[in-house]
Amino acid sequence: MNCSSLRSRLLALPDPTAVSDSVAAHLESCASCQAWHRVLVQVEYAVASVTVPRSDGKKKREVLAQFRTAKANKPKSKPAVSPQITSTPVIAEKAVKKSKSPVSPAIPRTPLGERLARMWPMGLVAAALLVGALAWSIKKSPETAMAKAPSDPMLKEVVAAKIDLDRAHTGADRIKVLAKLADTIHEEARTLSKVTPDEMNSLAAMYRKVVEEALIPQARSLNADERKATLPAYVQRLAEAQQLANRLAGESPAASGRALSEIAEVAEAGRIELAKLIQGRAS
Amino acid sequence: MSNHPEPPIGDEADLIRSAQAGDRSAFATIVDRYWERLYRWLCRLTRDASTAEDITQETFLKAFAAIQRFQAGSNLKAWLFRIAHNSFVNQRRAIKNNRKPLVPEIAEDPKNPVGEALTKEAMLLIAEAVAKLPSDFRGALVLRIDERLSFRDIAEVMGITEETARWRVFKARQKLMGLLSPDLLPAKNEPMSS
Repeated sequence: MNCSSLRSRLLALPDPTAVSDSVAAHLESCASCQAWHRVLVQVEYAVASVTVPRSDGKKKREVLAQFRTAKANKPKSKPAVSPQITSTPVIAEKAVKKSKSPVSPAIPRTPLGERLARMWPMGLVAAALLVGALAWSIKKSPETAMAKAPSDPMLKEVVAAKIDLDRAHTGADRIKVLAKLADTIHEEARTLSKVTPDEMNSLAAMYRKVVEEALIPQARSLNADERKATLPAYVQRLAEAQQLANRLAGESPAASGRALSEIAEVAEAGRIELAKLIQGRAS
Repeated sequence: MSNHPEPPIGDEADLIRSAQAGDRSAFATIVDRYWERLYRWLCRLTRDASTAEDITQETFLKAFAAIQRFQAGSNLKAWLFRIAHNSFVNQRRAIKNNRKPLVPEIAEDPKNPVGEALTKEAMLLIAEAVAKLPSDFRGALVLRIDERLSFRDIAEVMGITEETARWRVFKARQKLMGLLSPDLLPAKNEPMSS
């Protein structure tokens, strides 16, 4: 083994301090490689010794406090664990793809624009994930545990919805929470359509998820009397959402317009479905 | 070389099960356990403390949202680091544009197995050289050295093959040695044996 191949071997080792007998033998007989190896080991330790700026810990405290103060939901049975460890990164990547081109310093920003730009895509991706989890939990069981999280505006709303869902005792309460969340997403869509049209598709998808996969199934779980007492108000809200989204779709850039039209369609379909449920024409 | 002791495996499996079952305080323990190491890695990856903190926070949020999908028996640390890496990749362009340079600092008393303390200047030189590595190489190297992740786990975190992970660590070390060995090696070297 010559010096060059020995050094390549050392560079490829998981740990350059753990060398094989043949490498050790070469090192013992070659002062140059010995010195080189010594430097390599020193570099490794120096890399490990580099410190990073100490955080004030505020964000960590916030997150911890939210998880620690929230009342834990003890499950009635063990939840199913899905088989893929890589599912989260995959989901995150999909969400990220949907909401790409996040922050462009070249775009002149209003204070609102800056706030939203900071939110995208981190807040949106996380919010989308949470909305996905929320919709999933509604489908699985209304009792499924949800949580609280950091203070991004949109994210905060989604997380608050999850907490409220935990605490909701009746189907009507859960519908109230979900409708509020749908309104929040709708409101964000109205605002974002002016500043970040590229991201509107993700928001439209979120809106669809909340309405189609959470709100409507929850409405279906109500009995006939509950439907009549609870749902008319939401029919009205969805009608307003549809009307507003349609109007904005005509005023916004093409990319935002398409997404707003999709939101309008979802709101319309949701409104019709709720109306059928009230009339007993749907199960 | 790692700065963080590894948690007992059984204990961690219990925590994950509890978190999956809806116990938020168990998830808080996971946050507490992994926050600093994620933050530290992200700081070195992004070279911006504020961005690193944001991504750390984001990582735990995403992890919580997906904890039900985490497969029992998998490597939680690699899973969390992968989520963090995805967030970093997603924001890389914005980070590049907005980054304020992180001034490297050296621990007061770095442990050195060869018994020779490097000078402060040499340590700073190394820290600066690491900071100048391409982020893919730097990320892999720090995962290997700081977190003691196997090449397989590094591959999992960074979404690459095991061989590529090994190659990145190799190239990172090679670049560092190319930059540093003229300064750190004794002035008069013995001739190379062949």
